[in-house]
Amino acid sequence: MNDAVVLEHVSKRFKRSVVSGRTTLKDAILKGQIFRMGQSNGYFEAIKDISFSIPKATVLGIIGPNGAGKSTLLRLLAGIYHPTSGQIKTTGRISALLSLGLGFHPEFSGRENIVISGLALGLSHQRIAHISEDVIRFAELEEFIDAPMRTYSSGMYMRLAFSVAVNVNPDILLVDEVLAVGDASFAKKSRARMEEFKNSGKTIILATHDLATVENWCQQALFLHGGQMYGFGDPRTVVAKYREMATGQGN
Amino acid sequence: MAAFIRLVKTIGKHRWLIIEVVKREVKLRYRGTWLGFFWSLLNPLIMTVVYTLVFVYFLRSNVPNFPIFLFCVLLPWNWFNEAVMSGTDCIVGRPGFVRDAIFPTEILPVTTIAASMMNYVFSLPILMIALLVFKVPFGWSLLTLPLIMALQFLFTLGIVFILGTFNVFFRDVRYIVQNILMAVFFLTPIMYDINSIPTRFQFLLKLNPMEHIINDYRSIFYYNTGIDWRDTGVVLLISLVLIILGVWAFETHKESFAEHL
Repeated sequence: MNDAVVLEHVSKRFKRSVVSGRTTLKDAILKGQIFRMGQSNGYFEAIKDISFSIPKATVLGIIGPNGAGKSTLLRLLAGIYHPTSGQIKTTGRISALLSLGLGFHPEFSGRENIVISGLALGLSHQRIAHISEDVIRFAELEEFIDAPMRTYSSGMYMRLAFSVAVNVNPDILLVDEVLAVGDASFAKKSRARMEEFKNSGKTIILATHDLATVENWCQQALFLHGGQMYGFGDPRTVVAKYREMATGQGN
Repeated sequence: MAAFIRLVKTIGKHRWLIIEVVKREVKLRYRGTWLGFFWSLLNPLIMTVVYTLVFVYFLRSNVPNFPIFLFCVLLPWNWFNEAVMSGTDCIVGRPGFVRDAIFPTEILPVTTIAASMMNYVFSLPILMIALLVFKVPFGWSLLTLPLIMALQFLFTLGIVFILGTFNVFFRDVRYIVQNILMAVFFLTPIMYDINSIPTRFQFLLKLNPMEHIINDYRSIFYYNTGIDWRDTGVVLLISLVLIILGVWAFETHKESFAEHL
């Protein structure tokens, strides 16, 4: 088993009512749903029967138009969502840099959140003390690290998330590109760190709209559309297919 | 039952994380205040003074040492009240942790109750001073206090697992809980002695596990007698059943928490 990630017929359905407003207790009683929490008649299928596997030390780029299911797929891989059917197998420690699942409590300070994230990952107090200076320095947050995180700008929040994600020494790194922004100097720094990651034989899965990155930097690509897999394999071939479809729709 | 054993293992594995989160929660509660912990003591103190005024001076109640009679059980009630209220929100109030795939969500009920318990622990020295000032004797039964606290912890834990889970799907739960707690406060013999009410109601009040827990606290601090082991055992059994039910409800819905926040 040298595969870092294996997906077998994975589907994810969401309840419509979650999308279109929350069920209230009144609704539940009126509709006799009280003993069927989390069930509903209307479903939205965000991921449809996806199977693929990637070996360790692979950089996989996920591409596709908005609403294709890229973020849902990343959340499934991270274990934030659970597949409605099918199986996901991952090997090694996963670190996720997604818009959800940053694992920070807004009332706690940056430093406190670093400790809590580290402990949740199973790191010892010594190990956390050891890495936290690196985390803070890399995030360039020396000045604000003891302030509650609700006072952080979105850029500061993202920098800390990135810094924690890459400093806990994961085997698999999941990145939602929407988050991998920041000012030019930080973007450059995080690029360099990702490059280091790639070269040290880590598995990286990245959802992005930047097709050039996928062609030049990724070893594998996955093209999602409407929750379905439209292409998987060599980045150039897969990106070409996506371009073809995008222009086809444009006409 | 298997779910219960898994919970115990998770708690053991994540003990350092639990301690850290509790420490932070306690610190957070008083961040930016001048008087810190004393704010949480102010409420039972004011209530004790007001109720003493009403019961002893207005209604001419003849309970000796009424302030102690009340204060020694008002403190654990406040712990219970606060733990159930914040426990109901323990999942919906922490989307950051719940959406983090690595963070063990099942520790949140534990950390919430433990954080409220710390308030109670901090107020114990004040209670001991009050006992000395009012010259209420205390003795060996104090040694059973940790036992009763553990019992209250378990009873609350079962309730919080159930309410915390339900609250994710129906946000009405917290408002219902708020009102039920208020009613239960008056229906638990906190401000009065259970023997002072008509016998036919005493039986009904004894169906409430908190009645027995409150009774044990009062035996320890006020009557200076041993606790009622039989009643305490029954409450322990009820608590374990509630925890098993609660953990089952929690475990079967845990996977969809992130989607509902």
